[in-house]
Amino acid sequence: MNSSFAIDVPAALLDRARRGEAAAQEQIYRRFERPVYTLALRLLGNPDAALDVLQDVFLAVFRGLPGFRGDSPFWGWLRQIAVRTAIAALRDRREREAAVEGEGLLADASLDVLPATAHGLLQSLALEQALQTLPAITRSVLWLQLVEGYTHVEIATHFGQSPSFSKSQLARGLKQLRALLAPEVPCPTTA
Amino acid sequence: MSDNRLITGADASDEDRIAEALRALPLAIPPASRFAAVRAALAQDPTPVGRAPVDAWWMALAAGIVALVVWQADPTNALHAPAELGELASVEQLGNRSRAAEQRLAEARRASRPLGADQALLERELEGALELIDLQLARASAPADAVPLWRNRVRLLESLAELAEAPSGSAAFVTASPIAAQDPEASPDNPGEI
Repeated sequence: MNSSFAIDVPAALLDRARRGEAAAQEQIYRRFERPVYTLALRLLGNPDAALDVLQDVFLAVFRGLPGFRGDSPFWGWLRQIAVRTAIAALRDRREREAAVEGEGLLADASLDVLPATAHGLLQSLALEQALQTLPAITRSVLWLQLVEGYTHVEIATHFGQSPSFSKSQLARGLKQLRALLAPEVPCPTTA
Repeated sequence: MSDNRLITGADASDEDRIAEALRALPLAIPPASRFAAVRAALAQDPTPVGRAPVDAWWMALAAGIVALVVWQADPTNALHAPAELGELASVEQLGNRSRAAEQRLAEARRASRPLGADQALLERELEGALELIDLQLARASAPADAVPLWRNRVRLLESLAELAEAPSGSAAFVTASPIAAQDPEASPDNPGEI
């Protein structure tokens, strides 16, 4: 599974950034701003909040860089900070209750605004829209598990919950996405 | 990921399709760059950015993790946080001290020597705690929140430097764990909810 975060950063560039060199920090920022912003947007579902997370993540990264030894890939370390920051933002926004109890959103959700096209851009837009209708916590678990490849144990740790919490949220998210995307993602028929 | 799969058969194939479709979504483009704001915050050092109060859940987790890493120590070689650290009351003073600690750590690591297994474990825990504090600092909006966090940051950095400078295999310094000595003001009054 290839994460969009999996970007190699030369050790020399990291050293320069560690010394506080602005140009080096900017190079790192440019390489990772889209993966970080995308992750934050998927988890929070709000562009402004995602921008705040983007800023917080890079501030934490550059402040924490002297403590990064390079025993593991830099991108993995940065992604951990991004996930923690985004989840902390979720918690701060106290979206948990509304998110977990947000099935009501589904009743209002409609893909009618988009044609049921199964290909290309429209399919992406439909999926994006369907994703946005999921409760924030459910969407976050779904994204971390299916896209970033986190295990249920890892996700549970981030949320301070049990693995069964992660599993149930994933099952719920898949079920809801299937319902929303039924025309686009038909269930395979069995002989 | 197979051990994570919830469903089998046709549904599993469906899950794969959904996962594949999600991964194929284009990366979002931030509507604005925040790099200038990041640099400004770094330059102002250590004026924190963010909106939320200190989240003690992470602090408690970090403290719990490091508390587990207690092993026999040589008290003659124990780390003691400099006495005057508690006297530094401004973010600016603590930021200067933090930078000095970072420089000391970088120099110690340049003269790198292999760490013993216990030292490596402790180093990892300290770095994890440092990462959590940096995360909290990025979100602390008031000096009252930031000052104790900065004190703990300095303690952690100085501990890391001490560890990097210690002879290989020395288990010296865990007695005076910087986490154990963490600033009580940094403790949470707003425990995490998730």
